[in-house]
Amino acid sequence: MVDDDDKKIKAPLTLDLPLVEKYRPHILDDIVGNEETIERLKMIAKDGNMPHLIISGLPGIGKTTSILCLARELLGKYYNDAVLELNASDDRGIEVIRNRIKQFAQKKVSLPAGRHKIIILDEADSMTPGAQQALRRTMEIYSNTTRFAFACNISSKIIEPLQSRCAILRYTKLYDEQVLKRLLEIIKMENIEYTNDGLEALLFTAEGDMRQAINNLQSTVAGFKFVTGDNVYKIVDSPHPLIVKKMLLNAVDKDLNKSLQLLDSLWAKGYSAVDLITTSFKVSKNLDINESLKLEIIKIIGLTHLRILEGVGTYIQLAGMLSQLSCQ
Amino acid sequence: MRATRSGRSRGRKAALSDDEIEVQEVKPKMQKKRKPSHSTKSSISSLSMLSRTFNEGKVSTGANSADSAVSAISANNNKKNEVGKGGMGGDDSRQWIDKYAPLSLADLAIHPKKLQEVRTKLKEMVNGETNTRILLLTGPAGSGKSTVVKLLAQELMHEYAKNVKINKDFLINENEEENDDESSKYLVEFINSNLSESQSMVTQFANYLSEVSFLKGPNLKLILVEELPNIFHSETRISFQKAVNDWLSLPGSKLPPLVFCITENEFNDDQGERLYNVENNFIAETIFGSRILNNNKLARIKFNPIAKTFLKKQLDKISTCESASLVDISKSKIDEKIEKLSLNGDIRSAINCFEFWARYYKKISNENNDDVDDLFLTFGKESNLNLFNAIGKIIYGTNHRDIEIINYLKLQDIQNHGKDYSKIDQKIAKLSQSEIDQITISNVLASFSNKSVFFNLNLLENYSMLNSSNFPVCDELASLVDNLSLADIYNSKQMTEIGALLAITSTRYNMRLIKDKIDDDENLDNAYLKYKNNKLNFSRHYKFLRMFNQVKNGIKDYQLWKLSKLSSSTSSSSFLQDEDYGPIPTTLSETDCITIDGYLEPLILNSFRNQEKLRLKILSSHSSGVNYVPSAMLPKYPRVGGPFRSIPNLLSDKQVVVDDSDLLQDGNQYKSIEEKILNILVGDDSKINDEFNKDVDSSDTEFENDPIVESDEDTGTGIKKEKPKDEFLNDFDDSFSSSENESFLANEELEALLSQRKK
Repeated sequence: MVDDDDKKIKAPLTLDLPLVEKYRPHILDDIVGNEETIERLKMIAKDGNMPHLIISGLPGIGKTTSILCLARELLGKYYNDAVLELNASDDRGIEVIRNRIKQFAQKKVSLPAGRHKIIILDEADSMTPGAQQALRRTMEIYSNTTRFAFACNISSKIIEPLQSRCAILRYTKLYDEQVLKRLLEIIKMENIEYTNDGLEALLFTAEGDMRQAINNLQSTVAGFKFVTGDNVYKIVDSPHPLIVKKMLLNAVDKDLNKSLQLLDSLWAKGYSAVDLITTSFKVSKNLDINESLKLEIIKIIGLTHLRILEGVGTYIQLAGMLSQLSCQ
Repeated sequence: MRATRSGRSRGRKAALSDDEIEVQEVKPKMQKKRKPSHSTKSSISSLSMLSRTFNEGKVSTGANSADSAVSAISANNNKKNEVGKGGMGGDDSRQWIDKYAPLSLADLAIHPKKLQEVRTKLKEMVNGETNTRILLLTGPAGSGKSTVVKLLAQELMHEYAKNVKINKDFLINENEEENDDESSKYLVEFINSNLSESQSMVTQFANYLSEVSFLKGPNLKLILVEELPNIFHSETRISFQKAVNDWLSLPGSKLPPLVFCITENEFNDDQGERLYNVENNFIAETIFGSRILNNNKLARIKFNPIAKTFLKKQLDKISTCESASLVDISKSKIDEKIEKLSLNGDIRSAINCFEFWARYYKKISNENNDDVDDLFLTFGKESNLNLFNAIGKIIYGTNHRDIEIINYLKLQDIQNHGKDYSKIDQKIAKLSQSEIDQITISNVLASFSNKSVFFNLNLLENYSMLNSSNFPVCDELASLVDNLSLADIYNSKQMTEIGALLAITSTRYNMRLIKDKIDDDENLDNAYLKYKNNKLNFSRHYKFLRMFNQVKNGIKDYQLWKLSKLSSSTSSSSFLQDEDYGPIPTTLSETDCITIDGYLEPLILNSFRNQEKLRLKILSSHSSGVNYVPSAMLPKYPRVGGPFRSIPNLLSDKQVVVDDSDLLQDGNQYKSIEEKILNILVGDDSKINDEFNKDVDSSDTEFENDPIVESDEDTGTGIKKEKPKDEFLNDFDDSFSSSENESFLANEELEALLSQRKK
C-alpha cells in the first residue's frame, strides 16, 4: 500500500519513524489535554518526591507519554539507570515481579535528594491479580528509594491494596480542539495538504484518541497524499457519516425510498453490515431530534446490531431497520 | 556469602556518604525556598524522626541534621541500611504515610475494642496461655492490620523478654533477608525470596515454617506473614494449606505465635461473572480453605474499614503537623477535604490522597475554578459515592446545571464542534430541561462508559426510589424497564456503548415524564424534593452471582467428599481433594446431592436432633430425681451449600463490597459433623461430647455481630452488617419441633432409653 517514493516527495521526514513516535512529546509541557493533572505532574517533576501513581483513562490520551515525560524530567541524566519500564509485552508474571522488579528496587543508584528510582508498569490492568498481589509488599518495603507508576485503562482492574498505596489520576477524553491543535502542528511540520472536512473526518473517526488520529493522518497521507474527508473515510474504511446521517433522517422523515437508495449506494461500495450499523449508531447518538424519537431509533439500531452480531449481516436486516425507522 | 556481603556493605557505605554530601548541598537551597516558620518545624520533625529511627529500627540515610544518629545506628546495623535504601532524599522525601505512621498503640486509628481483642489474643499466644496457634487478621486494604501487629509485637514481646529475663535490642525487621537473624529480634516476616535452584517454589512456605518453628522459648519471635507464596498456583496453594495445617496439628505445645495479615479483596472482571475462587475472591476462605479456618487452633479477627471519626482525627492531626506546608490553603477547604476523605474507610489511601491533594493544591488553584477542579481530579479509590451521585443525577435530574454544562463543554463531542459551543454559553439560563438532561446524560456516559453493565444494574435497582416509590404504574415505567432489559441484552453482546446510552437516556427521559405526572396529579403526595432522604441501594446482582457460585462450590466439595467416603479407601487423604483434583465422578449427580443430601438428609438428621432435644427436655421435667447430664447434643445439620437466607437480607445492600464471608460454609464442614453424628447414632458418644459442645458454640459465635461494626454505624459510615444468618435454621428447627411434638416418643420409651443409658 505505502508508496515510498511518493512519500519522500511529500514528507521526507516520515521515513524513519511513525508520526506517533516522531511527535511523541518529550516534556510535560508538550502534552495535550488534562491540564490540571499535567500541571500537578509538572509540580512533581519540579519538587521531586513522586508518590506512587496510577494513571487511568481511555487509550490514546497520553497516559504513558506523561509518565515517561515525568520520569525523564525527574531523573534527567539518571534516566537510563533509574527507570525500569515494563509493559504488557514484557513478561510480567509473578516471577518477574519477585525477581526483576525486586532486584531493580534493591539496586543502588546515586540520585539527588527527592528523586527516586521509578518503575513504570504500563498497561497494568493486564497484569494478573496474582502478580499484583506480589507487588504489594515490594512497593511498601522499597518506597524509600523506588516509586511505582502504573498506567491502565480501567483503574478498577488494579487490586485494591495497590490502589490504596497510590495517588490515582484519572485522565479524561481529549476534546476535539486539543486533538485538532496537535494535528495542525504536525501537518504544518510535515507539510501536508489538507482540507477542513478532512480534519473533521479525522476527528470524527478518532473519537478523542490522539494516537488514532495521528495514525489515520499518516495512513491518509501515505495513501492519498491529500487529507480530505473522503480520503480519510476510505482509509479507515468506514462509511461516510454524512451519508449515513442522511439515510437515517430520510427514513425517519418517512421517505423510505430515498433512504433505501442511499443504503444501496453504501452497500454497493462494499461496506459490511457491521460497519454500517456501527456508523449508524455513532451518528444517531448525535442526531438533533426529540428525545423519545431518539430513544426509539437507538433501540431499533441496537436490535439490528444484535442480529448482525448474531451472524445475520445481510442487506435485508439494514433495509428492515430503515423501514422500522420510517414507521416511527 | 558473609565475605561478599560485608564487601558490598563497605561499597555501599562509601556511596552513602556521597549521598549525604549531595543532600547537604541541596539543603540550603531548599530551606531558602521555605517559609521561615518551617525551620523550627523541621528541627522538630528531625527530632521526632530521630526518635522514630530508634524505635523502629528504620534507618533513613541522609536525614536532615540527624547525621550522628545515622552513623550511630548504621554502625550497629549497617546491613539494614544497605537493603533497598539507594539514592535517598532528605526528610522530605518520606511520604506522609510513613512520616505519620503510628508510633504507639495510642496513635492507632482502629477501634479500641478491636485493638483490645487483638491484644488479648496475641498476648495469650505469646505467653502460651492458649492453644491458639495462628492468629488470622482479615479485612479490607488500609484498615490497620499490619500496623497493629507490629506495634503489639513491640509491646508484648518486650514484656515477654522482660519476663524471660533476656535483654535484647528493640528492633523490628521490616526488610527482607529472613535468614539474617541479626536484624530481627521480635518479629520475623515471611517474604518470598529469590530462590536458589535447590529450593522449590511449591514447598518454600513449608520450609520456612519448619525453620521458624524453632523460634521459641528465649528466642521467641512473632512470625508475621503478610506476603503469601504464589497461592494462585494451585499446587503451591495446596502445599501452602498443607503447611499451615501441619503447623496447626504439630505435636508439642509451644510454637511461636504465627500471625497472618490478609488484605481481602474481590477482583471484578468486566463480564460480571463472579466466580468464587482465589483469583476472583482473594479472601481467607479461598486462601486457606474452610478446614483450616474451622480449626479451633486458629483465631480469626476481622477488621472493618476505619470509622469516619477515627480517620478524621488522624487527618486533622496530620494537617496540624503539616500546617507549615498547608498555609496556602484556606482552613475551610482543608476541613472540607478532610471531611470528604474521612468517608474513605481506608486510612492509607486517605492519607495518600490528602498528601497529594495538599502538596499540589496551592500553586494551581488560585483561579476560582476550584469546583471544576475537584470534579476532574478525583484522587483515591473508585468510590461508590461517584456511582450513586451519577445514578441520582439520572433518576432525579441534576441540581447543578452550570457544573454540568462546564463539564459538558470539556467533554464535547466532535459533531457539535464549533457550533454549539458558543450557543450554549449564551443561553445557559434558557436551556430546557430536556437539553440539560442530554448534557447530564453525556457527562455520565463519559465517566461510566467503562462499566455500563454495572451502572445499568444499579439503575434497575434504584429507579423505583423516585418520590419514595410513590408514583403511578404507567406506560413510561413499562418502557423504562423494557429498555433496561434491552440494554442488558446489548451489554451481554459486547455492545456496551449502545446499552449504556439506551439505559441511561431512557431512564432519564421516562423519569422526567413520570415526575411531570406526579406534579400534575394532585392525589399523589408530591415528595419529589425530598428525594435526598432516599438512600440508593447497591445492586444485588453480583451478590446473587457470588452466592450462587458459593453454593455450587459447596455442592462440588460435598460431592467429592461423599464419593470419597463411599469408596472408603481414600477417606484418609481427603485433604488433597481439592476442586482442582480432577473431574467430578458422575456417580453422584448434582441433583441427587441437592435433593437427597442437601435437603432430605438434613431434614432427617435435624429431626434426630430435635428428638434428642425433646428427649432431654422431657427427661429433665419428668424424672427430676435423676441427675441426667445432657450429653449427646447433636449439632444442627446444615444444608449443602449453606443455609437459605431469609429474603429481606437479599433485598438491598448498601455496601459495594459485600461482606457475607461469614456465611461461607462448604462441604468440608460436613465431614466433621456427619462423622460425629454417625458416631453418636452408633452409640460411641463418650469422647465426642466435649468437642460437640465446642463446635456448637463456635458456630454460634461465628454469627455474632461484630461489636465494632455497630459503633461504626453510630458514627455514620453507613456500613451495614448483615444480621445473624442462622435465622432460617432456627425457623426450620422450630417448625420441626412443633410438628413433631405430638408424634413423639412416649414417656415410657424414654424411660426405657434412660435406663439403658444408665447401664
